[in-house]
Amino acid sequence: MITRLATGAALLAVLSFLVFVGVELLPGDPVTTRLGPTATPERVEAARHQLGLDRPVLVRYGEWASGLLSGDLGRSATGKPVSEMLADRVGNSALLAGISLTLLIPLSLGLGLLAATRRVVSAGALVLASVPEFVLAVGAVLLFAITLRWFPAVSLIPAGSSPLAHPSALVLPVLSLLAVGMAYAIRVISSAASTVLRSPHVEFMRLNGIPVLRTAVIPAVLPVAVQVWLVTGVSLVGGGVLVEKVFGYPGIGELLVVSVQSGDLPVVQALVLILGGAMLLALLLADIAIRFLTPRLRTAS
Amino acid sequence: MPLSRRALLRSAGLAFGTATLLGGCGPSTPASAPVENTAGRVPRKGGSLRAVFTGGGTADTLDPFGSASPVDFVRNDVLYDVLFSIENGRATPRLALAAEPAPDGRSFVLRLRDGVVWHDGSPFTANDVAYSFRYMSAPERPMPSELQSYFDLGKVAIRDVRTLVVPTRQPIGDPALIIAAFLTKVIKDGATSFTPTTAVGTGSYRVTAFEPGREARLTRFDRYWDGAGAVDELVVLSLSDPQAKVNAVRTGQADYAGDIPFSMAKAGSGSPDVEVRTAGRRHRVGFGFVLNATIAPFNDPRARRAVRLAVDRKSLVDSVLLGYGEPGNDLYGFGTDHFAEREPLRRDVDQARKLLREAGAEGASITIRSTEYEVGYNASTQLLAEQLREVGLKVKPDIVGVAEFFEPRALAASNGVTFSIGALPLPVIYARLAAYPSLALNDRELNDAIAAGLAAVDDTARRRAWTTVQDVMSDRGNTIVWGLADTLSLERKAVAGVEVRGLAKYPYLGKAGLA
Repeated sequence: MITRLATGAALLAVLSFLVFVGVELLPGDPVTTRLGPTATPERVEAARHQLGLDRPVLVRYGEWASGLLSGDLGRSATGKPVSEMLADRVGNSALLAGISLTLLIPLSLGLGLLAATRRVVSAGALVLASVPEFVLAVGAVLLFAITLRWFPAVSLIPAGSSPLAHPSALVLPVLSLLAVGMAYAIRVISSAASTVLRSPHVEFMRLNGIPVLRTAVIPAVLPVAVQVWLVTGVSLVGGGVLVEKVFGYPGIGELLVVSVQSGDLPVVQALVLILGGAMLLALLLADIAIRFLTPRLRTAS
Repeated sequence: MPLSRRALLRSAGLAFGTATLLGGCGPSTPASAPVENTAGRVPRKGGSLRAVFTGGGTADTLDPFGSASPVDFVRNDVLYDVLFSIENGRATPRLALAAEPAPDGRSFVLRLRDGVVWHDGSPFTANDVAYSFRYMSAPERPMPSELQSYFDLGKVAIRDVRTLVVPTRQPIGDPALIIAAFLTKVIKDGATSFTPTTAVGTGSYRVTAFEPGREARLTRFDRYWDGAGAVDELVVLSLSDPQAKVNAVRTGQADYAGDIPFSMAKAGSGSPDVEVRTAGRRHRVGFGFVLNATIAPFNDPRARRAVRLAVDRKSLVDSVLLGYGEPGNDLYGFGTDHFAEREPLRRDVDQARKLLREAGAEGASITIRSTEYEVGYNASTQLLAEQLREVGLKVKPDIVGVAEFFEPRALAASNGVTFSIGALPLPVIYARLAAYPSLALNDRELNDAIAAGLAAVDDTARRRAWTTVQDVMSDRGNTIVWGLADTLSLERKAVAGVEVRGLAKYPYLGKAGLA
């Protein structure tokens, strides 16, 4: 357990370095972007010094990383503190992913088990898996917002209030995210379930009149399912980039798109790190969950 | 001449939006022509108006000198007043009444309006203006105002509570126009922060709630000097996706969406009480390319003219602007004072080939740098590449992201760049072009005429100078304005009173409402 946590921390450190250097290598110079192409060389130099860009990459990475440890994400190209710019957005995206995941867990388990025996369900999941998320989102807008007028097309959340206070604005983004996550989860769960269903011991149990679903299938499927749910949950935060953009939902995905376009590197660095870190955490939790749910793994050592 | 990125973003207009999803699927039959926004209809008093513009996410700001996205410009235009605004190509007095140049043009007397009050009730004075000049030009600011390249803002003298004397760096005959062009907003003496509680302006609306990347709620300021606005509340919404802006109006979540892509206009309004509108012909934006006259082959005027002869303007207007516009005559500044309305050059492939041969540029390889500052820019570059192939030029489009477009070295190495500029006064347009070493045309006659146009006090001398400038550009210039594009908006039919002060992309909503 300790080694897993240590590996996780080490991976996070490597990730933070890759993010920092990777974003630094993007084309475009933050100083000239900020001052315009005709700023005098002295002014560019002064700004470079002011922003600390005249120091080696490793030194700057060190400062950025130690800032991260104390919760300081640095300043955006606009001069605003990055943490202030992200605070609400992280919560909003987590909310969207959280609601989607809460719905996804029972639905994907039920449909996944059904798909193991019903061809039509598994074919449906395959079709869903092949549709890109933004096409789903645009389709949802066309059908439910523009044609049927059931839900708002754009998630406009008034200043000073939480998306939770406007549930109708959440419906279409959640549906789109759910559809994206469902397809994958159903397929993984149903393949695990059908493997179990085909195994001789299940056949034997069934012949002896023992209810197989509760005693054999679910216990075997659960470790796989938990892993899928955790990873899907995080990828809904990251994978929501396009969904958030289509609905104008004030989350980190939408902010990531805007910040890449405007070249606000400190914001991009922070967002990529948050998304990557969340994924690492999910994998770690999945790992722990599997050990917990699979007695064989716990007792092997 | 220093030029901040903000100025350029503003003048060129931002298109944060990426390619559209639904727009392309619209009907292929041309939609009905956009309805021109006329000043005739008067909005009724009361109610609320919800307008949506492209925003910059949580980078949105109430700082009038930190504005970077369309939603910032529009919102901050109603919160804060400018000294002079541009209307119909001329400077119109707002917080200032007049800027009277000294006989030598080396300074001017700035006279201020009486009876103006701030949102907090205190009176507006010359101290506020002097402070605003210092604040906007402070070198430690990330984007100091370019006004200081014309005026010595550190040496502004306050003569009395309504009068200031401002020294200039070169003779300037119409200082009001320069002040208007650089959006000289006035903040309160001593203001350093711009939060919903500290953002105090003199504008027709004051801020009551603000959340960057979402919305600003503005309440009518009943003591506004120019007559209080129509609606009780103005809600300015910030979205980053153009399709989301359009959807918001189509489904009744907003009343007005500013600056919508041509493809979405083509797809129709989608609702009987919503229509596509345009600010009108004289507010059309020049779409084009600027050739780099500092390196081969376009350091030869014959090669530059050859490109102008090779361009198929009609086909660019049809396929990039989707018909929402007209061919341009290679001059920027359409719709403003002293603009030379001349016929565009006729396409002549043979003559273009001949000129290229004479210039020794036959079969030359060139790069054109492009970014999607405006929707359609990259498409126009691809199309230009095809058209120039017909005259034997090998064009390599260099398509980059918005954030890296102005990388100085890359800009200087390109043979041409995409460039658009709206109906701004000619002195501003030529200053902007001259700001980039690789976009400027180093021509003695041109530069003398620009300086003369800037210094001229009377209208006849001004017209003469700007005619000379445009003669030079028509003869051997490096700008190819192939089209004049409409600025389109999607509006509920009841929306009225939307004004253009400066650029149509950033309309003035201080008098707007629902009829």
